[in-house]
Amino acid sequence: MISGAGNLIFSHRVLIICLFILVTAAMAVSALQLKVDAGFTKLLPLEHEYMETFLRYRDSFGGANRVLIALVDRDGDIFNEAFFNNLRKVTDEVFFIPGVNRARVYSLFTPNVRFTEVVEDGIAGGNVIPDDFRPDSEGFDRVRNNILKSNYMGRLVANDFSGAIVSAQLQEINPNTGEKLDYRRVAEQLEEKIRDKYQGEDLAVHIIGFAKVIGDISAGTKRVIMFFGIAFLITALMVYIYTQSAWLTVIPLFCSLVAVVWQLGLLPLLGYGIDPMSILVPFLVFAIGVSHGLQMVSACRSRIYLGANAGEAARGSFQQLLVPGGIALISDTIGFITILFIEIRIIQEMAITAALGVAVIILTNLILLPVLLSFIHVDERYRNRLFRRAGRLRRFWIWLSYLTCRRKALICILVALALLLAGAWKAGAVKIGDLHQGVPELHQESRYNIDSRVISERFSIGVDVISVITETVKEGCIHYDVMKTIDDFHWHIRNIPGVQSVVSLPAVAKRINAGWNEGHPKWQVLSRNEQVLAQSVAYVDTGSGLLNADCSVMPVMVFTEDHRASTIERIVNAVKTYESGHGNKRVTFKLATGNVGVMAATNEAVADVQFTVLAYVFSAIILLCLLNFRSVTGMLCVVLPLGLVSILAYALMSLLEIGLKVSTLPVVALGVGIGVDYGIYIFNQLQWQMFQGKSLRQAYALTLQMTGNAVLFTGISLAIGVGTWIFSPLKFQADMGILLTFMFIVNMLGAIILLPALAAWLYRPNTNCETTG
Amino acid sequence: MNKVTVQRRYFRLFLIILLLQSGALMRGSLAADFSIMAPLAEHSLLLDIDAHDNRLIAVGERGHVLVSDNDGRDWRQVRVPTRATLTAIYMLDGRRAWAVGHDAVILRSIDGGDSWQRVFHEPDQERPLLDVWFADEHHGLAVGAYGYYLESSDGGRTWRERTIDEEDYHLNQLTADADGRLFIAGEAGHVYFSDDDGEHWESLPAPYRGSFFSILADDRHGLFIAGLRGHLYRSEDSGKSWTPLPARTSAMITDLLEYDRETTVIVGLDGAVIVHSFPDQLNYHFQPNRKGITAVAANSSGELFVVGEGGLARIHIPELTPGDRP
Repeated sequence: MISGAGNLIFSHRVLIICLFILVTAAMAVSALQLKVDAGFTKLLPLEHEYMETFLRYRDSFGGANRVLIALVDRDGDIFNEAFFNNLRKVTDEVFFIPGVNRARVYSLFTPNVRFTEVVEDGIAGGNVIPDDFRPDSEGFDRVRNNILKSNYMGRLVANDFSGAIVSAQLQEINPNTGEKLDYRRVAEQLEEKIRDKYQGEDLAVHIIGFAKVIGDISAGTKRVIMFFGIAFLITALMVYIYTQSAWLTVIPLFCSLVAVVWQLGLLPLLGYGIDPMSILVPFLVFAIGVSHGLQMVSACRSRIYLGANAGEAARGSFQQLLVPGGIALISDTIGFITILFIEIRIIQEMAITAALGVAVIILTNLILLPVLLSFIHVDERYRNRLFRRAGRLRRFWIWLSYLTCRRKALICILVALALLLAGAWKAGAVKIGDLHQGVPELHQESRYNIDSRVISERFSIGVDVISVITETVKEGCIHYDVMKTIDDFHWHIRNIPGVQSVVSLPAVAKRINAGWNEGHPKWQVLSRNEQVLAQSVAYVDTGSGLLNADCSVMPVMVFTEDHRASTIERIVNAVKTYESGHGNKRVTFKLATGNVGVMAATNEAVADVQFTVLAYVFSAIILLCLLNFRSVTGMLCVVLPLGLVSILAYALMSLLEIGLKVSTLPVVALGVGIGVDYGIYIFNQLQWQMFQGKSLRQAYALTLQMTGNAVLFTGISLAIGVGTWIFSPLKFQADMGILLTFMFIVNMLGAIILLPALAAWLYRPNTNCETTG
Repeated sequence: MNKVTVQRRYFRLFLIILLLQSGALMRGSLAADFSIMAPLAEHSLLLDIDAHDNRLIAVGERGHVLVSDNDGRDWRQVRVPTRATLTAIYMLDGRRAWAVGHDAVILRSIDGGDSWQRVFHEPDQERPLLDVWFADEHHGLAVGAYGYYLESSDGGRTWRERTIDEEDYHLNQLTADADGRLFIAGEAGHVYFSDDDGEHWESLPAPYRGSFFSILADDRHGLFIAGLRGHLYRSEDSGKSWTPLPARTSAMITDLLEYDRETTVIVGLDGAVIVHSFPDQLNYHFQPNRKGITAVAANSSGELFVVGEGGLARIHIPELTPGDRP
């Protein structure tokens, strides 16, 4: 049947090439329609119950789209003329940043920043910086006192008077033109007009906000393409070193790129865009393509080495590799499809596109590649070069083949067992979610995260927040029992370790109530009287994010010390326990909005499926191996090293403090896919050689010369290529780079060292191992 | 500077409306809600602190009562039968103590604050009690908002309400001098005085029309009174004439403490800690966090403890060397 397919294909070579050219051209056109689509909702586990709350209230309360610009005096004291001049100029500049809602710019110099104080006959107030302000010691004293009387200590002024903030609210949609705000432009302008101009010897500028995060990630994404290019060049160079032939380098790389073009072309047809997170997929398709391409080249070369011409060699290789290659690629495809179980759209997109990409490789690298290879011209010089190198490497392969001797094999297996135990011990400690402070997409030492750290240290401003939505009756905020329930909840949550501060309407209402009573803290209470309570909340507007228009919904903002999974879990559990014990018909506490709320849902979604995904991937592989090899031994030889590598990958994550999250969970599953290719090719060849009557050791020595060197080589070259990602400015790409490099190398070692060692003990050896062959 | 004047008088209107209603609203919840033990109680809003022998007791929001029996080295929260915000604590000696607060709650302890009994509770009144004082183990007074005035002659087991002024101003703080004469600091420049254990009260002429929040009758230096916007006065003739003292703060002064024979400690809402020593020598120690301080107490060795918006804190004032108090 296979030779039939070979006849069909190789007798219509030109037609096949034309077909491929046509389809590739069409896909390339389609790929040009590809849009960068960094949607936020794609990152959410939309099926999760928290996200229902999140989506319902996102528009009412999620609008805290602020940019904070902190100016910090390097001498640690803002009360000098230069600082005040700069603060005024920066405030003026902020008004002209695109998207800024000019009514919602706050700084010591804006007229909406006022203080109030209790005087004998009521309350008096004024601008914190008075109209007749003069920058002398008397003027500064007055401003300092006004700041102390105002509510802005810690919010607009650093707790130690070492800096001040200009805060601006952004409008997502331009009200005049209806255009969507381009966050990247906002971020650029903040850099150009503010940081570049004002940062200096006396002044440090720190900028945070969602727009800035998007800007920095987008800037990082541009570099992602560059890293892709570097990885490609390194791979090309390595392949050339391996093949020693320009054509044999160009053809497998070209076929793999064709697969990438198809995969990218399929995205717009399916209605998807490209996302910074899924940038991994094209590279993965390319890597898997190269891996299979090199197998084909290697098989072909062995035939050329043995004296065949290019046409015969290509056709022979096609017939030899169609089944194992096909099986390997189908198991990859199935493996990727299982990732669909994670109900987060970005991961599902990755799963579908990766599965499609890998399926495409069956066409490009198992059919197009041998067809193209059959056209190349092989001269004697090349054959001689192969002879020389084969002679050099042969001794190494023979040496490696002694791994199939039982005693050496036992050592390998024992080492593997030790690794398994150590790995399992470490892997158990792997954490779900983000383990570090700051925005997880960016490195901890990125400018953004440093800025955010400085601001949260000097000011009383938290950046990690989980908002618990309190749903209650209409006008709930004037009912004492409702407000009291929320206030009790506020205090309960405040006492949970990991909570930095809590902001809620009852807390604000209590302060206002004291304000109505000459400001004495003894009056910081919720009044049982409806009218008095109404008076305490009347001046809190919906822009505060603490209530909706009819105050039937009141979020409780819980600022957390960090967003480690354990912190989030503790707080989430506390909320759930409290709701089940104290929630009632009138008041329910619902999780959750805020960046930490999203993390909580994502962590739970990831935790729910992490074992399911691996279980399905492995089941698919086990089944396909059994079908292909028709041998339990064969299946074990391929699957056991894969299992070990998965566990070691978890251990590595735990060692390097990489959390299991949306960007890393697929890598572990995809990594299994890479490993299975190696295993299937090697075992297939090994089994075939043994059917020819070779002893295990001889069979393995021959396998190494034909298949193993390609595996070794692919592993190393792809690892080096992807290893450069570690230097990416985006944290998740760096994490993926580390994990993939590890996967490429360790899977390769598992297939070359552990697989034969396992075979030595699972098979009864039919000849004495020590005879040389 | 523009001024916004807010009429506060219509509170009384609400009050009257409410008193006319039958007050059935809260009657159902007569069974006491106990305070909840909270790890952060020490950092919650605490409003008053008192010390006697080696014992210190601090009270504050949500029925928080904190007790130390080793001069303030270690503190623990104790469970009390209320969740109302407690505004004042008075310790007669190392064992007997009374605390008052919102919902007109009065608590009584006879074991130095370890256990408490709720002896009075009138949430329908919607008037908080703001201070409490006992002459001896029998006779005591509690004062509060809108002229609220209660007295007990059985050690606080039962209380009777009385009116001491037809104009129902807030009665903010109550004190006695060494001869047993009583003084009350009140709202809008009102200061009251009684020399017959509270049977009869008369108004003293006040130097200021703003509210007073603290009053201290010091047998050596006379009478101190303090209140809104850093107003601080001293009188050497029992309140007939007053000398203003510069507090150097425009924030409310909340509490006065007779530290020793020479020294008075004055605290306020912008973290002010002012040490007054005879004759009218003032030293200023603003606390760096500027958190509002509502009360101050000294333990038996003279170390100062303050409570307020930042919770409980021990503070060190250089010129007050602990250990050399009489």
